[in-house]
Amino acid sequence: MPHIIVCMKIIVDPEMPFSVFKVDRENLKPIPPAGMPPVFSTFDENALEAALKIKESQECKITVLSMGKTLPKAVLQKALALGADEVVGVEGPEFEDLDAFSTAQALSNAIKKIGEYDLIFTGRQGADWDAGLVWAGIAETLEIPSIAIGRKAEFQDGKVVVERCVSDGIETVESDLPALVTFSSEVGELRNVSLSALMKVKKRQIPKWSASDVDFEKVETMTMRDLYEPDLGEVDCFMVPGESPEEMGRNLAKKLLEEVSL
Amino acid sequence: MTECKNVLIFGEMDGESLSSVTAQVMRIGKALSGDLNEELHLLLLGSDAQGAEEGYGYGADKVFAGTDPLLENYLTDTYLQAMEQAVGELNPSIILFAQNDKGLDLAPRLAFRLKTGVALDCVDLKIDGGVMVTVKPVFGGKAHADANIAESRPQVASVREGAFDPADYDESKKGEVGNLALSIDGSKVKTRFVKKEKDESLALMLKLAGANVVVSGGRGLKKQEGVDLIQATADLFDGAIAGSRPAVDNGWIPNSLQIGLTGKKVNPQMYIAVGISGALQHMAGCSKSKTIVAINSDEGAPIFKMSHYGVVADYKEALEGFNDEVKRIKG
Repeated sequence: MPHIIVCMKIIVDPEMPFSVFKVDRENLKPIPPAGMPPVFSTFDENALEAALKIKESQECKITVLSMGKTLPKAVLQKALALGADEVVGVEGPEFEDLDAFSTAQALSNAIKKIGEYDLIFTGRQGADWDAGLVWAGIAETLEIPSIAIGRKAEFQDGKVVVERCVSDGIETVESDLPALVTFSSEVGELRNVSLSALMKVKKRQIPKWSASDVDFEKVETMTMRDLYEPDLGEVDCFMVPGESPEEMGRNLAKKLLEEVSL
Repeated sequence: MTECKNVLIFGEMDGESLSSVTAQVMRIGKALSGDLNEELHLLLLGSDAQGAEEGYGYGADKVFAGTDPLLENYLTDTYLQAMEQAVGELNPSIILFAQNDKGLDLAPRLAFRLKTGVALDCVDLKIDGGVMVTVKPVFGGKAHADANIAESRPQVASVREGAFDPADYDESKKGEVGNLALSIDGSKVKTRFVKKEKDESLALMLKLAGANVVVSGGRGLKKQEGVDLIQATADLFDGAIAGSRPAVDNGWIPNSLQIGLTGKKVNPQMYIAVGISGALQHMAGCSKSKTIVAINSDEGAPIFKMSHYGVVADYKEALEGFNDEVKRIKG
C-alpha cells in the first residue's frame, strides 16, 4: 500500500490578532501571547488535506510527522481523528528556534527511521517564520525529486501526478516515487474534525522520539540580526462624510476624481 | 577554489523580453554589486536564448545563457542541475532570484545542494561589511527579520515581486551573450512535464498586471453578485478586479487574482478595497499602491489605518452611488 508521510509543524495560531503580537527584540523571537492555542501550521494542514483527498479514492497509508519543543497531544490527536493512520512526534528542548538546515536534517533522519515511503507532503512554508525552506532541505537530504505548490496530487501507474500552481495557470507534472510535494491554500482548508472521531482516538498512544533518536545536530546557516515590527506606513485616512451609504459613495467619487491623478 | 565574486541573477524571459520581475531583481542586484564593487551577471536558462542581450540594457555587466532542449519547460530536476553547473562555472558571491513559482522552488533547493544559507521573499537587501543582509517579512508580515548568511558562500536570496521598481532600461547598452556549456544528465531527471493549462482568467490576470486602478473584493462582498459591482467600478477606470483570500476561498474571485502574501503583488495608482478587513497577509500584496481607498461597514477594520480615503458603509449602496457619480462627472 502506498505510504504518504505528511510533515506538520505545530505553531501558535497564526490568525492571532495583530494587537497581541509582540517581539522580544533582544532575544530575536516573538513573545508567545497568552491564551492563543497551538495549532498545525496552516499550509501543513493543506498538505494533510491533500493526503486525505487521495485516501478517499485510493488505498494508502498516511503518517503524520511532527517535530518541536513541545507537541500538545490534543493537536496530534486531531490528525489521527481526521484519518491519519499513524502519528509520530519528535520532541525535545533542542528543537526550539531551529535553523532550516538543522530542522531538515532531523526530519530527514526521522523519515528514514519511519521506513519505506512513497511520498512526503509538506506545506509551502511555516505560517510562523514564513521561511519556505525545510521541504527543500528534506528533498536534498533524501535525494528525491520535489514538486512545489501543488493543489492536487494522486498516484497513477506507480508515479505521482501533481497539478501545481504557477503564476499564469496550472501545470501538470509527474514524478517517479519516492517524491516530495509542497502544498498551499489552493488545496482547500483542512476538513473539520468531529467530536466522535476525536473521542475514538483519545486512547491511542502516539510514539515520541527524542533528539538523539534522530541524530540531531544543531547547525546555523543563517545569523539573525534583528527582529522588529515593521513600519506599516499607517496613514491619516480621510473619512468620507455623507448622510447615507449612497451619498458617501458619491462624495468619494467627487473627492477622488478631484485629488487623485490617474 | 578561487574566491567567489559577483552578483548573479537567475533571469527569466517573458516571450522575447526580459520579464518584469527579473528587471526588478536587476535593480537591487545592481545596487548590491555597486556597493561591493563587483559585477552584475545575468543568467538565462532555457531551450534557446533569444532576447538575452536585453539584459545589458537593464544594467548587467555580463549576460550568460545556458541552453539545452531539456530546459524547454521548467522542471526542478533539470533547472537545479543547470544552476549547479552555472554556479560552479561563474562562482558568484551572491545569487538572486525573484520570489515566484520558479524562485521559491529553485533557490532553496540550490542553497541546500550548495550547503549554504538562503532567505526567501526578501523586501530589502543591503551590504554591511561586505556581507549581504536580508530583510524578510515573517509571521505573516507582523514582523520583519534581518539576517545574514553565516559563513557559507554563495549567499542566496529571493526578492518579493513589487519590492523594487524595474531597473532603468538603456537601449544603447549592448553586449555579447556568453554561452555557458551545460550537460544535463537525463538519467537524473525523475520528473516530467505533462501539460500546462493557462488560467481561464488569464485575460483578467493580464489586465491586473498592468492596471492603473484595481478594485479588490473581500469577505465583505458576501456573495458572487458583489463581483459584478466591483467589475463595473473597475470598468469605469479601465481597471482590473482582484480579491483577498476569503473572496477566493468562497469562489467569488479566481485564484489567480488573489492579492497578498501568497498571491499577486500589485502597486497601481489607486487600489480600492471593498469589504476587505486589511489583514497584513493581504496588505503584503497591495500596500505599495499610490492611493488606497477602503469601503467597509466595520469602522474598526484595520484597513482604515492603511488607507488614504475611507467610507464606512454598506459597500453595495456606496459603490452604486460611487459608480453613478463617476459616470455623471466623466460625462
